[in-house]
Amino acid sequence: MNVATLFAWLLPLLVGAAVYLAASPERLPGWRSAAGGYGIVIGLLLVSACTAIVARSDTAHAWLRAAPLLAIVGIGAALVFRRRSRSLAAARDSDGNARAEMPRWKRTLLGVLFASLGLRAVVALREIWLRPLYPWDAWSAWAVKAKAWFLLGHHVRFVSLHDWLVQSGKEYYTSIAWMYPVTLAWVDIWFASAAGGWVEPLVNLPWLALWIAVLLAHYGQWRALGVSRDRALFFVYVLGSLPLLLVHAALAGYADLWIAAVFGLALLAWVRWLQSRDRGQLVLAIALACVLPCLKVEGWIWASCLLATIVFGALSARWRWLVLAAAAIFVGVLLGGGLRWLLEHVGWLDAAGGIVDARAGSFVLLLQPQWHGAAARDIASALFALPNWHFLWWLVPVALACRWREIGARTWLWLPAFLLLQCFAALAFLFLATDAAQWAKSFTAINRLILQLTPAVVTLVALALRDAQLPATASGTAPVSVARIDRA
Amino acid sequence: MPAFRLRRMIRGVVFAIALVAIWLGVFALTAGLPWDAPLNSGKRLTLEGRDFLVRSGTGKLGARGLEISAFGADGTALQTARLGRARSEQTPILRYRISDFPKTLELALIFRRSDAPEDVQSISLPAPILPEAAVDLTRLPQWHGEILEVGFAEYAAGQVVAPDNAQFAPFRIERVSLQARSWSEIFPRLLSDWFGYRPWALLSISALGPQLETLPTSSMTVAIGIGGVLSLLAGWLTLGWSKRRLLQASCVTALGAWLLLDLRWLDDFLSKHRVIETLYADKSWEERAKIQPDDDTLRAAAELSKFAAEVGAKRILVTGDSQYTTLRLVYFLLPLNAAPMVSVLAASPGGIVPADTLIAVLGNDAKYDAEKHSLQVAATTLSVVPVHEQGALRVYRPSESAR
Repeated sequence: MNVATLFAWLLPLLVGAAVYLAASPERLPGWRSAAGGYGIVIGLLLVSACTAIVARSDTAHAWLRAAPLLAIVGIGAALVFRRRSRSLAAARDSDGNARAEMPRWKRTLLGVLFASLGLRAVVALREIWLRPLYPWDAWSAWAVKAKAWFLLGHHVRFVSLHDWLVQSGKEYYTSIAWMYPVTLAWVDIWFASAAGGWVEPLVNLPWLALWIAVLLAHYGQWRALGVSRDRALFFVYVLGSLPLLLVHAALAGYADLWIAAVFGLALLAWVRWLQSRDRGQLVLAIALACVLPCLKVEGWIWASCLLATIVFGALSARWRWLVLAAAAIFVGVLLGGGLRWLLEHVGWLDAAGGIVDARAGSFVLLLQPQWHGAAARDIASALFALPNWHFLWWLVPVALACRWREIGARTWLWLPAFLLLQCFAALAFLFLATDAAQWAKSFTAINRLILQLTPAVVTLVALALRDAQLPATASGTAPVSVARIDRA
Repeated sequence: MPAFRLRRMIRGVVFAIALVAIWLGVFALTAGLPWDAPLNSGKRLTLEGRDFLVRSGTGKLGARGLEISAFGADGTALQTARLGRARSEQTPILRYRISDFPKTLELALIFRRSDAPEDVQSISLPAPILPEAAVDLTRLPQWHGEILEVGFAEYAAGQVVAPDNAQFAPFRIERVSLQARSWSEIFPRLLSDWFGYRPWALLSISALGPQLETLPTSSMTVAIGIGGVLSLLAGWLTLGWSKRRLLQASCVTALGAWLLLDLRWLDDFLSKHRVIETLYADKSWEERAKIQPDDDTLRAAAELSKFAAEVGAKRILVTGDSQYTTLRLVYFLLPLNAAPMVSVLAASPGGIVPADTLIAVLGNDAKYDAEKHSLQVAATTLSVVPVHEQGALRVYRPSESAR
């Protein structure tokens, strides 16, 4: 690893952390961890934006061209952070003595669990470092544009397969995934240019950074949301031990981990706003939600659900019912023929229902809903039987059922639960009522789509269980939990 | 002894018996073992190392079994043993003790049946674990009728290791047996299902566990989950746990079960990674980049790039024997302007392939008719002129128009 690569890593991390702290300068418990985690994610996203803006004509030196712009953003954010942090009261990190209060057995257990997370990180690093790009969509879809642009030395347009054939006189490229978003491609180019060549291990390292960022950001935000240190650490282990999440870091190259990270972090920021009305966190949540469609097509769905629920949460009770009714009618009209009408009018489908524009492909599944009950068994197998999730999906319903009163009593718990309910309803509809059922049968998509929501689900469980206690010894009929006074 | 202590002791004994019954039942159910199965298998066909014949590769009989020391010229090793006429339904459990089996290789069971003696059936097996691996062949539809011959084939692990980089290491076939189902084979079977090493596969990014072209395995998650829930229920019913105690026990059970699955996953992750270390460690990036599971495609791409540079071609339509090969070729060719031919032609019915575009074919799927100067690609016939050929790579130019 050369100095340029080191610099190409440090700059985005610092800028990302500065942007996070500018948005949320308050020093609540876990703020360093949150700044580190959000810093990595925001930094990498800013890298993509800056590179896309200034390095299109010279991708070979992309990081040199984009670094000044990124640095300006970082300096601006640092100035905002400095100004805002001055206006805040003295640091409120009330966390100082918590470590001493943790019993030795807990410290030992958590130490062992975190050592195992460290081992995973090291092995995943070696896996990325040693081998060329491995997973299918990575080399067939996600890295194609980046490799082409970097090795050509400049940006070229990727067009549909048809346009590529008929417009042979132009420097157009194509791929089976020509319409996929390019955010990750520009991240690849930043690191490739810093490495001085298309060195896949260096291009793929952000995926491991993202895995670490997810763990750091979740720990920090859970702490700020009132989860105790030991419980937050335990749930970090739960998240970090999920096999498929780690596989997406070790076998780098897919966009699902990015969606999982950005959606999870957006949800956390939104919950922070719901709990403490921290406007900076709301801005972060909205900004991250808006990034989702730039990562992967299904990001549109998650972004729509998240943004709609943010708006929904801001409405009065009366308006909420009206909006719910309107949303139900809207979805009914859309699925009952409105979507076909829309796609025909934007020119993506012809009158006979044939695909004119490949972008329609993602929506065609929804045009003729048909019940695929047999897929329920495959979904159950994916969630409960395969070794992708340990016991997560066995325990989540139990945990949420045990805490349904607490969830229902707090806005900052039931709104995220409502959001996730929408997301899982969308997945259930996709796999049970459309031809996507075959992706459940082949296990090619179902787990990856679930992966995108998993960190957010773990957040909901962690928050729901944050103050759960065992019933008192004397009475066998005591409530399962003793609720603390809600900070909100 | 006071009555309450006696009651507690009796409850404890009942709980212990219930636990044994629950877990035996769960394991038997998971393994698909019928309840009336015998304790020990009566019918058993045992094959020692000396019973095997080396059909491909190099091997010799040693003191502890058949020692295989090298691949054959085709990059595989093959050993077979004649069985006479064994009834498959009486001997569905295959147990195999193979020592020092390298993880860069894949192990496959091969067999022939009397109803189709010319057809060799093959199925990938979990890599051997110590002391002995066991699989249930009733899950394999081809395992029926009379079995004439069984054997093992070994080759570079598919989707991970290229044949040229298989890094063969000697191993030893010590003992193989085919037997009826019995209670005594539950644990070897479940251990093989749950802890048998399986290499990284292209499907790993979407799901761990299911593997194409291997025997379906039982789920450790389901077994531990159901066993755990039933054990808690048994504890609550027999020991009269309070709500607090039940919750405590549930938390401890959930944590223990999670850790168990996590340890299994860590072991699997490390095993998978060890192969990557074996293949790639201590090599420069330039060397590592050439070690691809499909290095023949990489070599074809290098040859095609060279030819394209010689003739000044700017655009190439490529096709291979599979979608995988085609898309890998496109990726390896970058920054050359290449596109998957079948997809392009399907997206452009009636489209004309420009004369300055090369058409590259890797493999035998696309047929060239030398008399008609036509190339048949999927449902499309193109008029072409051959311009280059190197091994499995053929390159053409459109003669006039696409179709």
